[in-house]
Amino acid sequence: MLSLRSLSVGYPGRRRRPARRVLEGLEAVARPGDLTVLIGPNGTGKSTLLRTLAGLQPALEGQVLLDGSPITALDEVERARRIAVVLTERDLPALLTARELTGLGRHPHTGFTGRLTAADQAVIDWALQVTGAAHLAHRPVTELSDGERQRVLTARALAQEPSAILLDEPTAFLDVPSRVALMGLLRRLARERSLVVVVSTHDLELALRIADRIWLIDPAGALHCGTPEELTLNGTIGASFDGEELTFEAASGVFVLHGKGRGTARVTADGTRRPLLERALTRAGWHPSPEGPADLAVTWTGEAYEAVRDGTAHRFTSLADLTDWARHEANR
Amino acid sequence: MNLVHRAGRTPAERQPDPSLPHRPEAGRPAEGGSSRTFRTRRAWPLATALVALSLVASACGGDGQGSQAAQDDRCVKEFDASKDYFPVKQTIRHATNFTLTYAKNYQVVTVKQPAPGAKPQTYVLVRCGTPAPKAEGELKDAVVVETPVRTLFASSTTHLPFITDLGVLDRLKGVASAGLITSPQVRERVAAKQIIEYADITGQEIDTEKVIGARPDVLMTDGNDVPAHQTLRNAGIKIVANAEWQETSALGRAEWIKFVAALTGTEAKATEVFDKVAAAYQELAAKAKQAEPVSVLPGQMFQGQWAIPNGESFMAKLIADAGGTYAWADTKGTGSTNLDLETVLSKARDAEVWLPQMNDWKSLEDVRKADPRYAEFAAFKSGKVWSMNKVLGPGGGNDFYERGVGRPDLILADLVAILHPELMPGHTFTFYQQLAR
Amino acid sequence: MTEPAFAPAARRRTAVMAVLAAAVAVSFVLAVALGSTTIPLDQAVAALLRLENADPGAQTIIWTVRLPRAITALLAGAALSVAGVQMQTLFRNPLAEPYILGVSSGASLGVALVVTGWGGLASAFTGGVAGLGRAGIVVAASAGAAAVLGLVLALSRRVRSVVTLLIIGVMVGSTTASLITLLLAYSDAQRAQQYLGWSLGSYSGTTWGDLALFTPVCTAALAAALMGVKPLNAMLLGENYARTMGVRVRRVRTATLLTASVLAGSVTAYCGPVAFLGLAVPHMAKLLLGTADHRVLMPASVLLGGAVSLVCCIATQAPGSGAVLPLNAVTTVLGAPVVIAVLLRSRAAQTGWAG
Repeated sequence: MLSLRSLSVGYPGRRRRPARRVLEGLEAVARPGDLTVLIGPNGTGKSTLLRTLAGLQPALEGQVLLDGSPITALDEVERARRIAVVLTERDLPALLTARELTGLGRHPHTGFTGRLTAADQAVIDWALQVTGAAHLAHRPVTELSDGERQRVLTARALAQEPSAILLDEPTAFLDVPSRVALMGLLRRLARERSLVVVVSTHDLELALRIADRIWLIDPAGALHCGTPEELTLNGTIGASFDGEELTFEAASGVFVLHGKGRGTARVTADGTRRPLLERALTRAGWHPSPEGPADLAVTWTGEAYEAVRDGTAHRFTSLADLTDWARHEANR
Repeated sequence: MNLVHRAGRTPAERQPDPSLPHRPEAGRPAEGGSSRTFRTRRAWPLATALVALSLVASACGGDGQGSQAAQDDRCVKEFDASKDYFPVKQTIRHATNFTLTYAKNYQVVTVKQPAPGAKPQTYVLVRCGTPAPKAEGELKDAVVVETPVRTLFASSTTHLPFITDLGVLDRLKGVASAGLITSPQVRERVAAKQIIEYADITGQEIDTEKVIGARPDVLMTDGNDVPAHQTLRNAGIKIVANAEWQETSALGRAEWIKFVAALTGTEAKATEVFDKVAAAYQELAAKAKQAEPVSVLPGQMFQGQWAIPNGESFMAKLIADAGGTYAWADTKGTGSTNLDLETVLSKARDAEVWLPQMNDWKSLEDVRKADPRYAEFAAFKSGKVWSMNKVLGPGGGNDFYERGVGRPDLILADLVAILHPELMPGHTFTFYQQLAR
Repeated sequence: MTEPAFAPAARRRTAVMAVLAAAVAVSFVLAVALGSTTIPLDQAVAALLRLENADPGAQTIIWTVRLPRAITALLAGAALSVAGVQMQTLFRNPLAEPYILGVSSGASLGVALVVTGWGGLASAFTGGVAGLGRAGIVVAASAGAAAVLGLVLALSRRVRSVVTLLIIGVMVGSTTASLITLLLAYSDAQRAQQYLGWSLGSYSGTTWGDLALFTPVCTAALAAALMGVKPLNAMLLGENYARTMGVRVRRVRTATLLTASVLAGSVTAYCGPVAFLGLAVPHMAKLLLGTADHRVLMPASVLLGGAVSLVCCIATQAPGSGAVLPLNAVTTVLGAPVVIAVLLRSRAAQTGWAG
């Protein structure tokens, strides 16, 4: 279990320059088995926090406790056996295979020369397999795609056999399938190996869907912890992320455009089509109203879309035409 | 780069030149007089007369009676086209780098190679007071100098022995840098500010203002042309190349005394001095020729590489003339080659005498400290190691490269005494000394 | 790294090491057998073994000239190559090499000071080489290298980023180069020529007395460097990752800088600055082995560095004429095209260092 007690992170002062506090008074807990996702707008200090948790930066005040003992009390090797990281650095050395890179993760466990025993090899095999990178083992890491590289770096972290893994924006630069796959992998690892997993990401929607716990740093620098639903309900998510054009809609868990449309629209269609039509009309400037009178009525007849406005009916065979017309109407 | 430039010119060392022809003495008293006479009205016209007189006196110039007299005799008063103004004619027998021809009132000197790869330069030395020849044909780009010169600047310490032996040291008014001069007479004059130093401490950077301000009749360089020379030429300074170091024979180098004589009008003295030196040299060479040649190892090594003079070089010829021989005597070229220690060991390990050229070595211990492998050589073991650093100037300059240039007979005498001691019993060494055990 | 799943890679590495070991042996023998004077092989062997019938001339040449030179070449090549690997890994820069922190500049300044006798300014001081001899040059070079090393180590504790250290090293190098030019400008031609000769590099200047000190220093530093393979492997991923893997980064940085500087400094003290070996051999070794794993890369660099250095040493003796080529000219001319050709051919190197 990873706990933060009155933690202040930032940059220590030097001569003539005072300490710069990025975040202070942080209290939070990340439990084993949970996928804890750290979110927050840019510049709020997510990376600084993760680096401090990893021991790469000293905390300005307060403590980081791992399984009850402060990480500062552990020596480097002991800490390396408990915490592993995946950082944002993208420079990888040439002439190392994925297997060799993963093998570097055994560093805190090997002897003086760094020779890998059979047991070490077994751990490496497992790490590669569990991250789905076993087929990449003998490929040079510089030839891998971004998604594959992140898997291998995760395998390296796993090879350290830590009790906590910290990942700093591992989904940046990944395409959506890779992103989804990676987050899924992390969640699985957390559950199956009872690991503490703390991931920071910018992908809010994915995070809210998949995280067991959210750590949200709001623009004011306060840390809010809770399940995604809790934070949505109490408005923290909205307060931190709502913008002028888009708001976070609790029910769907996605960002929606503001419903300040030209008028209301009522959609009659089957289950799949109805929410999609509503979304398209919202974008075109018509706020959906499920019941009651509406300025615009759209019906899916089974073959075409019928739109009625001011008593005039219009018929469209493609959704694109309907949407363009609706937009045109809204701007009239 | 300066480095290579200077390295190639080993004998060329700089000299300072303290004395310059001054003219200010005449001007000063006038100013002092005028300030005192401001007080009384009666002294006013007197003061004015004094000022006027002294101004006139200073305008006439002159820095003493000596040069006044010289000026009177120097130039020809009435030119006679049929008269031969050079009663003593010099002939060049040993030097190959310059030629000297006579016309009735002027001499033509051509320096074939002032510096390695440089074009020949021609000088027309016109007797002062006579008309210069037309600048056409081979005289087209020649530098015209009026002789005999009254004042001269010299850039190299190798020029000094010629100037001293010709008795015209009082005409030397400037040297490039005085640090490496060994001649006590010259150093004295530098200290007394009779000779000025016109370049910086390295002798490389010429202070053109000083030279132009001093206006010597001629500036003798060692042949290397630097950009500052062009500035001086533009200001009307005459520059000639005294490139004696390009000669490969010792007598050839010494014969450049005649070059300086042609400039200063001291041909008789030059012939006297040089004939004596040449006679002594040739007598020694003849004596040495009769003895069995002795094997010599020249040069020394650094970082395992030995600089061996080539067969046509200055050192090689000296060794041959001294009745010596060395393993690379039949190689071509006038410079030296870097050889591996291995080669030197295989060819010259048993050479009888070793002649290194290191200013700093005084004893065999110095040699051993530089590299213990020298002990492999027979000459080291027998102690027959001689270096030519017996006379070093206070600034570290080696007299071998100064006085030695004018006195090759003394150098040869030393060498013959080293190689064939039985031929020169009781010889006192001038330049060479045996390294102490 | 024995990987039962991928025997070909392991086999390649073993084969490469075997070939390199053989190359060292062969080139060493050639360096002793060949030289500017021709010595028949049987005489060379007899001289080497100091048999009774050995020709004394050949014995002198083999024992005073060729053997010390060959041993020096072997040690210097190994030392510079290992130091090069360390620098390239520590700075994560493929152009890093042992002299990058100004170690050889410091050594050069020390030598220039001794050779010029503190310049011609104090005209009474005619120290130069004679007063102190070769020992003086070695001591001066070592002192200069140590001074720069001390400066760099002191700065490395206060400087967080290793790139800053790199820039400082380059600045130190430039400053000392200017100081040296100044010293040479104010000295006479003979002294300046001596310095120039030293700066061209040479394996021929070492005697058995020198080797009595050079060999243990060099071997000890090589051993120390070889002991650091594990943390260096971790440093491949950068200092941040290394720290999270349990590496004491500050300590490793200091130890690596220290051993690399001792290696480079001692070679410079005895042989002058030898160009290019420290830069090229690590790349050649990486491409031969196909891996950046220091556990094989370091020993391979020792062997390859020794072999390449011996070949350069043989090449400086133009056979027959006895004339000698400057060592630095040979190492550069031989090495640069090889590296370019190898890099152009190899895909792995083309993808380069960055991701």
